[in-house]
Amino acid sequence: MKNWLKILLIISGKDMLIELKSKEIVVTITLFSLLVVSIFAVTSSNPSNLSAEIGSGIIWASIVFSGSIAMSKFFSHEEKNETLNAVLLMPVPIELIFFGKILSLFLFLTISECLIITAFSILFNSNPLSIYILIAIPVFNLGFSCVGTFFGIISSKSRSNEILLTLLLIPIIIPLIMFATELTRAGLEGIASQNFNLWLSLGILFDIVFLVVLTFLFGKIIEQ
Amino acid sequence: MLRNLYLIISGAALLLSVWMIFIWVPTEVNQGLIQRILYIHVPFAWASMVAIIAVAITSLMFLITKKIHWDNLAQSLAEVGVVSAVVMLFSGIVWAKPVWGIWWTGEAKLTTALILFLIYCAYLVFRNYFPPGGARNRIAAIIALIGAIDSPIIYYAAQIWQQNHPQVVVGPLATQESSLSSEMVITLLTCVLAVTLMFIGIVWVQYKTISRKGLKNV
Repeated sequence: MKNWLKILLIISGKDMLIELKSKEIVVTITLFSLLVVSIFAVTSSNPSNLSAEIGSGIIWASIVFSGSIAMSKFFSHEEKNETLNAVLLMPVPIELIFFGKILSLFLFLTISECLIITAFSILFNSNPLSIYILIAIPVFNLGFSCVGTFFGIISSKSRSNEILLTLLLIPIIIPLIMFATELTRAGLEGIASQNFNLWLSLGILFDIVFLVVLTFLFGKIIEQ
Repeated sequence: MLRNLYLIISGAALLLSVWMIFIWVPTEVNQGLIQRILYIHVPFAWASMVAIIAVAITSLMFLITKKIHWDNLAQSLAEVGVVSAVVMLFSGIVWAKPVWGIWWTGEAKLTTALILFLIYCAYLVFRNYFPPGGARNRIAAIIALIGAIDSPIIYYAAQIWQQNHPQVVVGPLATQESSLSSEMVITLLTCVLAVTLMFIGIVWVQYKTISRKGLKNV
Protein backbone atom coordinates (compact mmCIF):
# COMPACT_ATOMS: atom_id res chain seq x y z
CA MET A 1 0.00 0.00 0.00
CA LYS A 2 2.82 2.35 0.98
CA ASN A 3 4.64 1.36 -2.20
CA TRP A 4 1.59 2.11 -4.33
CA LEU A 5 1.29 5.57 -2.82
CA LYS A 6 4.96 6.17 -3.55
CA ILE A 7 4.53 5.21 -7.22
CA LEU A 8 1.45 7.40 -7.47
CA LEU A 9 3.39 10.36 -6.09
CA ILE A 10 6.31 9.67 -8.44
CA ILE A 11 4.02 9.69 -11.52
CA SER A 12 2.18 12.79 -10.39
CA GLY A 13 5.40 14.44 -9.16
CA LYS A 14 6.89 14.03 -12.64
CA ASP A 15 3.99 15.99 -14.15
CA MET A 16 4.26 18.68 -11.49
CA LEU A 17 7.99 19.02 -12.07
CA ILE A 18 7.49 19.42 -15.83
CA GLU A 19 4.82 22.02 -15.12
CA LEU A 20 7.05 23.89 -12.66
CA LYS A 21 9.65 24.22 -15.40
CA SER A 22 7.39 24.97 -18.37
CA LYS A 23 4.46 26.66 -16.53
CA GLU A 24 2.43 26.17 -19.70
CA ILE A 25 -0.71 24.59 -18.28
CA VAL A 26 -1.02 26.93 -15.30
CA VAL A 27 -0.51 29.99 -17.52
CA THR A 28 -3.10 28.68 -20.01
CA ILE A 29 -5.62 27.94 -17.26
CA THR A 30 -5.05 31.32 -15.57
CA LEU A 31 -5.47 33.37 -18.71
CA PHE A 32 -8.35 31.36 -20.12
CA SER A 33 -10.36 31.28 -16.91
CA LEU A 34 -9.80 35.01 -16.36
CA LEU A 35 -10.94 35.63 -19.91
CA VAL A 36 -14.14 33.60 -19.55
CA VAL A 37 -15.14 35.17 -16.21
CA SER A 38 -14.26 38.65 -17.57
CA ILE A 39 -16.46 38.15 -20.64
CA PHE A 40 -19.44 37.37 -18.40
CA ALA A 41 -18.59 40.33 -16.14
CA VAL A 42 -18.30 42.90 -18.92
CA THR A 43 -21.40 41.67 -20.75
CA SER A 44 -23.57 41.78 -17.63
CA SER A 45 -25.15 45.21 -17.01
CA ASN A 46 -25.00 44.90 -13.22
CA PRO A 47 -22.51 42.22 -12.13
CA SER A 48 -23.19 42.81 -8.42
CA ASN A 49 -26.85 41.82 -8.78
CA LEU A 50 -26.31 38.59 -10.64
CA SER A 51 -28.75 35.80 -9.80
CA ALA A 52 -27.30 32.76 -8.03
CA GLU A 53 -28.50 30.48 -10.82
CA ILE A 54 -26.56 32.37 -13.51
CA GLY A 55 -23.59 32.91 -11.20
CA SER A 56 -23.14 29.20 -10.53
CA GLY A 57 -23.48 28.53 -14.25
CA ILE A 58 -20.71 31.05 -15.00
CA ILE A 59 -18.36 29.50 -12.43
CA TRP A 60 -18.80 25.93 -13.68
CA ALA A 61 -18.84 26.81 -17.38
CA SER A 62 -15.47 28.56 -16.85
CA ILE A 63 -14.10 25.58 -14.89
CA VAL A 64 -15.24 23.03 -17.48
CA PHE A 65 -13.84 24.96 -20.45
CA SER A 66 -10.52 25.94 -18.89
CA GLY A 67 -10.18 22.41 -17.46
CA SER A 68 -10.76 20.75 -20.83
CA ILE A 69 -8.25 23.09 -22.51
CA ALA A 70 -5.67 22.26 -19.83
CA MET A 71 -6.35 18.54 -20.33
CA SER A 72 -5.90 18.61 -24.09
CA LYS A 73 -2.64 20.57 -23.65
CA PHE A 74 -1.46 18.12 -20.99
CA PHE A 75 -2.06 15.06 -23.15
CA SER A 76 -0.87 16.54 -26.44
CA HIS A 77 2.49 17.19 -24.70
CA GLU A 78 2.57 13.59 -23.55
CA GLU A 79 1.85 12.41 -27.08
CA LYS A 80 4.35 14.76 -28.74
CA ASN A 81 7.21 13.79 -26.47
CA GLU A 82 6.06 10.15 -26.20
CA THR A 83 6.35 10.43 -22.43
CA LEU A 84 3.24 8.35 -21.82
CA ASN A 85 4.79 5.45 -23.71
CA ALA A 86 7.88 5.80 -21.51
CA VAL A 87 5.75 5.84 -18.34
CA LEU A 88 3.89 2.74 -19.56
CA LEU A 89 7.19 0.87 -19.63
CA MET A 90 7.43 1.24 -15.84
CA PRO A 91 7.14 -2.13 -14.11
CA VAL A 92 4.04 -1.08 -12.17
CA PRO A 93 0.34 -1.96 -12.51
CA ILE A 94 -1.20 0.02 -15.36
CA GLU A 95 -4.01 1.17 -13.06
CA LEU A 96 -1.48 3.08 -10.95
CA ILE A 97 -0.41 5.08 -14.02
CA PHE A 98 -4.07 5.93 -14.63
CA PHE A 99 -4.50 7.03 -11.00
CA GLY A 100 -1.27 9.04 -11.19
CA LYS A 101 -2.58 10.99 -14.18
CA ILE A 102 -5.91 11.51 -12.40
CA LEU A 103 -4.04 12.94 -9.41
CA SER A 104 -2.08 15.35 -11.63
CA LEU A 105 -5.23 16.60 -13.36
CA PHE A 106 -7.00 16.84 -9.99
CA LEU A 107 -4.29 19.24 -8.81
CA PHE A 108 -4.39 21.32 -12.01
CA LEU A 109 -8.16 21.58 -11.77
CA THR A 110 -7.96 22.68 -8.14
CA ILE A 111 -5.58 25.49 -9.13
CA SER A 112 -7.95 26.58 -11.91
CA GLU A 113 -10.93 26.52 -9.51
CA CYS A 114 -9.12 28.70 -6.96
CA LEU A 115 -8.38 31.24 -9.69
CA ILE A 116 -11.90 31.23 -11.12
CA ILE A 117 -13.56 31.58 -7.72
CA THR A 118 -11.23 34.46 -6.80
CA ALA A 119 -11.85 36.20 -10.15
CA PHE A 120 -15.61 35.64 -9.80
CA SER A 121 -15.65 37.05 -6.24
CA ILE A 122 -13.85 40.23 -7.34
CA LEU A 123 -15.64 40.84 -10.64
CA PHE A 124 -19.15 40.00 -9.40
CA ASN A 125 -18.81 41.28 -5.82
CA SER A 126 -20.08 38.08 -4.33
CA ASN A 127 -18.71 35.27 -2.25
CA PRO A 128 -19.30 31.81 -3.71
CA LEU A 129 -17.22 30.13 -0.99
CA SER A 130 -19.46 27.95 1.14
CA ILE A 131 -19.48 24.46 2.59
CA TYR A 132 -21.42 23.33 -0.52
CA ILE A 133 -18.81 24.42 -3.04
CA LEU A 134 -16.07 22.97 -0.84
CA ILE A 135 -17.87 19.61 -1.04
CA ALA A 136 -18.64 19.99 -4.75
CA ILE A 137 -15.04 20.73 -5.79
CA PRO A 138 -13.32 17.45 -4.79
CA VAL A 139 -16.24 15.28 -5.97
CA PHE A 140 -16.38 17.14 -9.30
CA ASN A 141 -12.60 17.13 -9.74
CA LEU A 142 -12.32 13.40 -9.16
CA GLY A 143 -14.98 12.55 -11.77
CA PHE A 144 -13.83 15.19 -14.24
CA SER A 145 -10.16 14.19 -14.06
CA CYS A 146 -11.02 10.48 -14.26
CA VAL A 147 -13.15 10.86 -17.43
CA GLY A 148 -10.74 13.55 -18.72
CA THR A 149 -7.68 11.30 -18.34
CA PHE A 150 -9.42 8.49 -20.19
CA PHE A 151 -10.65 10.61 -23.09
CA GLY A 152 -7.48 12.76 -23.06
CA ILE A 153 -5.34 9.72 -23.81
CA ILE A 154 -7.78 8.58 -26.52
CA SER A 155 -8.06 11.96 -28.24
CA SER A 156 -4.31 12.72 -28.08
CA LYS A 157 -3.89 10.14 -30.86
CA SER A 158 -6.28 11.95 -33.19
CA ARG A 159 -5.59 14.84 -35.53
CA SER A 160 -8.08 17.21 -33.85
CA ASN A 161 -7.42 16.36 -30.23
CA GLU A 162 -8.71 19.59 -28.61
CA ILE A 163 -12.14 19.52 -30.21
CA LEU A 164 -12.47 15.76 -29.86
CA LEU A 165 -11.67 15.82 -26.15
CA THR A 166 -14.24 18.56 -25.50
CA LEU A 167 -16.91 16.78 -27.56
CA LEU A 168 -16.39 13.46 -25.81
CA LEU A 169 -15.87 14.79 -22.31
CA ILE A 170 -18.59 17.38 -21.76
CA PRO A 171 -21.74 15.31 -22.56
CA ILE A 172 -20.51 12.48 -20.33
CA ILE A 173 -19.88 14.73 -17.32
CA ILE A 174 -23.22 16.61 -17.58
CA PRO A 175 -24.55 14.91 -14.38
CA LEU A 176 -21.44 16.14 -12.50
CA ILE A 177 -21.89 19.66 -13.87
CA MET A 178 -25.53 19.62 -12.71
CA PHE A 179 -24.43 18.42 -9.26
CA ALA A 180 -21.73 21.10 -8.89
CA THR A 181 -23.93 23.91 -10.25
CA GLU A 182 -26.77 23.04 -7.92
CA LEU A 183 -24.58 23.00 -4.79
CA THR A 184 -22.84 26.26 -5.81
CA ARG A 185 -26.21 27.90 -6.39
CA ALA A 186 -27.28 26.99 -2.85
CA GLY A 187 -23.99 28.45 -1.56
CA LEU A 188 -24.45 31.70 -3.49
CA GLU A 189 -28.03 32.07 -2.27
CA GLY A 190 -26.90 31.36 1.28
CA ILE A 191 -29.66 28.83 1.86
CA ALA A 192 -29.69 25.11 2.59
CA SER A 193 -29.52 23.06 -0.59
CA GLN A 194 -32.69 21.22 -1.53
CA ASN A 195 -32.05 17.51 -2.08
CA PHE A 196 -28.48 17.88 -0.83
CA ASN A 197 -28.25 14.17 -0.01
CA LEU A 198 -29.57 13.17 -3.41
CA TRP A 199 -27.10 15.44 -5.22
CA LEU A 200 -24.19 14.23 -3.12
CA SER A 201 -25.13 10.61 -3.70
CA LEU A 202 -25.34 11.31 -7.43
CA GLY A 203 -21.88 12.93 -7.47
CA ILE A 204 -20.31 10.09 -5.49
CA LEU A 205 -22.13 7.47 -7.59
CA PHE A 206 -20.77 9.06 -10.78
CA ASP A 207 -17.22 9.07 -9.38
CA ILE A 208 -17.36 5.45 -8.21
CA VAL A 209 -18.96 4.11 -11.41
CA PHE A 210 -16.54 5.88 -13.73
CA LEU A 211 -13.48 5.22 -11.58
CA VAL A 212 -14.23 1.48 -11.58
CA VAL A 213 -15.34 1.19 -15.22
CA LEU A 214 -12.63 3.41 -16.70
CA THR A 215 -9.86 1.80 -14.64
CA PHE A 216 -10.94 -1.53 -16.13
CA LEU A 217 -11.20 -0.09 -19.67
CA PHE A 218 -7.92 1.84 -19.42
CA GLY A 219 -5.95 -1.36 -19.91
CA LYS A 220 -7.99 -2.09 -23.06
CA ILE A 221 -7.22 1.26 -24.71
CA ILE A 222 -3.57 1.14 -23.73
CA GLU A 223 -3.29 -2.25 -25.48
CA GLN A 224 -3.89 -0.35 -28.71
CA MET B 1 -36.69 -10.92 -54.18
CA LEU B 2 -36.75 -10.59 -50.41
CA ARG B 3 -35.36 -7.06 -50.68
CA ASN B 4 -38.09 -6.02 -53.15
CA LEU B 5 -40.78 -7.51 -50.91
CA TYR B 6 -39.36 -5.59 -47.94
CA LEU B 7 -39.33 -2.36 -49.96
CA ILE B 8 -42.96 -2.86 -51.02
CA ILE B 9 -44.13 -3.62 -47.47
CA SER B 10 -42.28 -0.72 -45.84
CA GLY B 11 -43.26 1.69 -48.66
CA ALA B 12 -46.91 0.64 -48.31
CA ALA B 13 -46.74 1.05 -44.52
CA LEU B 14 -45.32 4.57 -44.93
CA LEU B 15 -47.99 5.57 -47.46
CA LEU B 16 -50.71 4.11 -45.23
CA SER B 17 -49.43 6.02 -42.21
CA VAL B 18 -49.33 9.31 -44.20
CA TRP B 19 -52.95 8.71 -45.26
CA MET B 20 -53.96 7.90 -41.70
CA ILE B 21 -52.22 10.97 -40.24
CA PHE B 22 -53.64 13.50 -42.70
CA ILE B 23 -57.01 12.04 -43.68
CA TRP B 24 -58.25 9.17 -41.53
CA VAL B 25 -57.48 10.03 -37.90
CA PRO B 26 -59.83 12.56 -36.19
CA THR B 27 -58.43 15.86 -34.94
CA GLU B 28 -57.77 15.94 -31.20
CA VAL B 29 -60.22 18.23 -29.37
CA ASN B 30 -57.82 20.07 -27.02
CA GLN B 31 -54.71 20.54 -29.09
CA GLY B 32 -56.18 20.68 -32.59
CA LEU B 33 -54.11 20.04 -35.71
CA ILE B 34 -50.74 20.40 -33.96
CA GLN B 35 -51.41 17.14 -32.09
CA ARG B 36 -50.74 15.26 -35.35
CA ILE B 37 -47.03 15.81 -34.73
CA LEU B 38 -47.43 12.98 -32.19
CA TYR B 39 -47.53 10.49 -35.08
CA ILE B 40 -44.08 11.65 -36.23
CA HIS B 41 -42.53 12.47 -32.85
CA VAL B 42 -43.24 9.20 -31.02
CA PRO B 43 -42.11 6.79 -33.80
CA PHE B 44 -38.81 8.68 -34.25
CA ALA B 45 -38.28 8.87 -30.48
CA TRP B 46 -38.82 5.10 -30.37
CA ALA B 47 -36.41 4.55 -33.30
CA SER B 48 -33.68 6.71 -31.76
CA MET B 49 -33.96 5.03 -28.34
CA VAL B 50 -33.90 1.55 -29.92
CA ALA B 51 -30.83 2.65 -31.91
CA ILE B 52 -29.00 3.79 -28.77
CA ILE B 53 -29.66 0.49 -26.98
CA ALA B 54 -28.73 -1.48 -30.12
CA VAL B 55 -25.46 0.49 -30.52
CA ALA B 56 -24.51 -0.43 -26.95
CA ILE B 57 -25.37 -4.12 -27.50
CA THR B 58 -23.57 -4.39 -30.86
CA SER B 59 -20.52 -2.56 -29.45
CA LEU B 60 -20.40 -5.00 -26.55
CA MET B 61 -20.67 -7.90 -29.00
CA PHE B 62 -17.82 -6.42 -31.01
CA LEU B 63 -15.62 -6.14 -27.91
CA ILE B 64 -16.38 -9.74 -26.96
CA THR B 65 -16.21 -11.43 -30.38
CA LYS B 66 -13.87 -8.95 -32.22
CA LYS B 67 -15.94 -9.60 -35.38
CA ILE B 68 -15.94 -6.50 -37.60
CA HIS B 69 -19.58 -6.90 -38.73
CA TRP B 70 -20.73 -5.99 -35.19
CA ASP B 71 -18.76 -2.75 -35.38
CA ASN B 72 -20.13 -1.94 -38.85
CA LEU B 73 -23.63 -2.57 -37.54
CA ALA B 74 -22.99 -0.33 -34.51
CA GLN B 75 -21.81 2.48 -36.77
CA SER B 76 -24.81 2.22 -39.10
CA LEU B 77 -27.21 2.10 -36.14
CA ALA B 78 -25.56 5.16 -34.60
CA GLU B 79 -25.78 7.12 -37.85
CA VAL B 80 -29.45 6.36 -38.45
CA GLY B 81 -30.18 6.76 -34.72
CA VAL B 82 -28.69 10.26 -34.66
CA VAL B 83 -30.81 11.30 -37.65
CA SER B 84 -33.91 9.89 -35.91
CA ALA B 85 -32.97 11.82 -32.77
CA VAL B 86 -32.75 15.05 -34.80
CA VAL B 87 -36.30 14.44 -36.11
CA MET B 88 -37.49 13.60 -32.58
CA LEU B 89 -35.93 16.74 -31.04
CA PHE B 90 -37.09 19.06 -33.83
CA SER B 91 -40.67 17.71 -33.87
CA GLY B 92 -40.77 17.90 -30.06
CA ILE B 93 -39.66 21.53 -30.04
CA VAL B 94 -42.20 22.50 -32.71
CA TRP B 95 -44.95 20.68 -30.79
CA ALA B 96 -44.04 22.13 -27.38
CA LYS B 97 -44.32 25.81 -28.32
CA PRO B 98 -48.07 25.98 -29.10
CA VAL B 99 -49.02 23.37 -26.49
CA TRP B 100 -46.84 24.26 -23.48
CA GLY B 101 -46.04 27.85 -24.48
CA ILE B 102 -42.29 27.20 -24.43
CA TRP B 103 -39.82 25.70 -26.89
CA TRP B 104 -37.86 23.71 -24.32
CA THR B 105 -38.08 22.70 -20.67
CA GLY B 106 -35.71 20.96 -18.29
CA GLU B 107 -37.92 17.87 -18.03
CA ALA B 108 -35.96 14.68 -17.28
CA LYS B 109 -36.83 12.78 -20.47
CA LEU B 110 -36.05 15.80 -22.68
CA THR B 111 -32.70 16.49 -20.99
CA THR B 112 -31.70 12.81 -21.18
CA ALA B 113 -32.65 12.58 -24.87
CA LEU B 114 -30.67 15.72 -25.70
CA ILE B 115 -27.53 14.59 -23.87
CA LEU B 116 -27.68 11.08 -25.32
CA PHE B 117 -27.99 12.68 -28.76
CA LEU B 118 -24.83 14.72 -28.03
CA ILE B 119 -22.95 11.61 -26.80
CA TYR B 120 -23.75 9.69 -29.97
CA CYS B 121 -22.83 12.71 -32.12
CA ALA B 122 -19.45 12.68 -30.32
CA TYR B 123 -19.22 8.92 -31.04
CA LEU B 124 -19.66 9.59 -34.78
CA VAL B 125 -17.26 12.56 -34.74
CA PHE B 126 -14.69 10.34 -33.03
CA ARG B 127 -15.02 7.74 -35.81
CA ASN B 128 -14.32 10.44 -38.39
CA TYR B 129 -11.40 12.12 -36.61
CA PHE B 130 -9.51 9.08 -35.37
CA PRO B 131 -7.14 7.25 -37.76
CA PRO B 132 -8.99 4.21 -39.20
CA GLY B 133 -8.07 0.74 -38.00
CA GLY B 134 -8.59 -1.79 -35.26
CA ALA B 135 -7.77 0.70 -32.49
CA ARG B 136 -10.44 3.13 -33.67
CA ASN B 137 -13.11 0.43 -33.83
CA ARG B 138 -12.34 -0.85 -30.32
CA ILE B 139 -12.20 2.64 -28.78
CA ALA B 140 -15.44 3.62 -30.54
CA ALA B 141 -17.12 0.54 -29.04
CA ILE B 142 -15.81 1.55 -25.61
CA ILE B 143 -17.22 5.09 -26.07
CA ALA B 144 -20.63 3.64 -26.98
CA LEU B 145 -20.55 1.51 -23.83
CA ILE B 146 -19.57 4.51 -21.68
CA GLY B 147 -22.53 6.41 -23.18
CA ALA B 148 -24.85 3.55 -22.25
CA ILE B 149 -23.47 3.39 -18.69
CA ASP B 150 -23.87 7.17 -18.34
CA SER B 151 -27.50 7.30 -19.52
CA PRO B 152 -29.19 6.13 -16.25
CA ILE B 153 -26.99 8.58 -14.28
CA ILE B 154 -28.03 11.40 -16.63
CA TYR B 155 -31.70 10.48 -16.17
CA TYR B 156 -31.28 10.36 -12.37
CA ALA B 157 -29.55 13.78 -12.39
CA ALA B 158 -32.24 15.27 -14.65
CA GLN B 159 -34.95 13.98 -12.32
CA ILE B 160 -33.39 15.57 -9.22
CA TRP B 161 -32.87 18.76 -11.22
CA GLN B 162 -36.55 18.75 -12.13
CA GLN B 163 -37.52 18.49 -8.44
CA ASN B 164 -35.48 21.63 -7.66
CA HIS B 165 -36.64 23.62 -10.66
CA PRO B 166 -40.42 23.37 -11.16
CA GLN B 167 -41.21 23.54 -14.85
CA VAL B 168 -42.67 26.73 -16.26
CA VAL B 169 -45.33 25.49 -18.58
CA VAL B 170 -47.55 28.43 -19.48
CA GLY B 171 -49.40 27.37 -22.62
CA PRO B 172 -53.21 27.36 -22.66
CA LEU B 173 -53.25 23.57 -22.87
CA ALA B 174 -50.46 22.93 -20.39
CA THR B 175 -52.61 21.52 -17.63
CA GLN B 176 -55.18 19.68 -19.71
CA GLU B 177 -54.91 15.96 -19.82
CA SER B 178 -55.74 14.40 -23.12
CA SER B 179 -56.33 10.77 -23.85
CA LEU B 180 -56.05 9.03 -27.21
CA SER B 181 -59.08 7.58 -28.97
CA SER B 182 -58.89 4.14 -30.56
CA GLU B 183 -58.33 5.63 -34.08
CA MET B 184 -55.45 7.65 -32.70
CA VAL B 185 -53.88 4.60 -31.07
CA ILE B 186 -54.21 2.60 -34.33
CA THR B 187 -52.64 5.48 -36.32
CA LEU B 188 -49.81 5.80 -33.80
CA LEU B 189 -49.07 2.06 -33.90
CA THR B 190 -49.14 2.05 -37.72
CA CYS B 191 -46.70 5.00 -37.75
CA VAL B 192 -44.40 3.24 -35.24
CA LEU B 193 -44.45 0.13 -37.44
CA ALA B 194 -43.80 2.11 -40.64
CA VAL B 195 -40.91 4.08 -39.11
CA THR B 196 -39.44 0.88 -37.60
CA LEU B 197 -39.52 -0.84 -41.00
CA MET B 198 -37.98 2.22 -42.65
CA PHE B 199 -35.35 2.40 -39.87
CA ILE B 200 -34.37 -1.26 -40.30
CA GLY B 201 -34.20 -0.81 -44.07
CA ILE B 202 -31.93 2.27 -43.88
CA VAL B 203 -29.70 0.64 -41.24
CA TRP B 204 -29.36 -2.40 -43.50
CA VAL B 205 -28.41 -0.28 -46.56
CA GLN B 206 -25.95 1.72 -44.46
CA TYR B 207 -24.48 -1.49 -43.01
CA LYS B 208 -23.93 -2.89 -46.50
CA THR B 209 -22.29 0.39 -47.64
CA ILE B 210 -19.94 0.48 -44.64
CA SER B 211 -19.05 -3.20 -45.06
CA ARG B 212 -18.27 -2.69 -48.77
CA LYS B 213 -16.15 0.38 -47.98
CA GLY B 214 -14.27 -1.66 -45.38
CA LEU B 215 -13.59 -4.44 -47.89
CA LYS B 216 -12.36 -1.89 -50.44
CA ASN B 217 -9.92 -0.39 -47.92
CA VAL B 218 -8.54 -3.85 -47.11
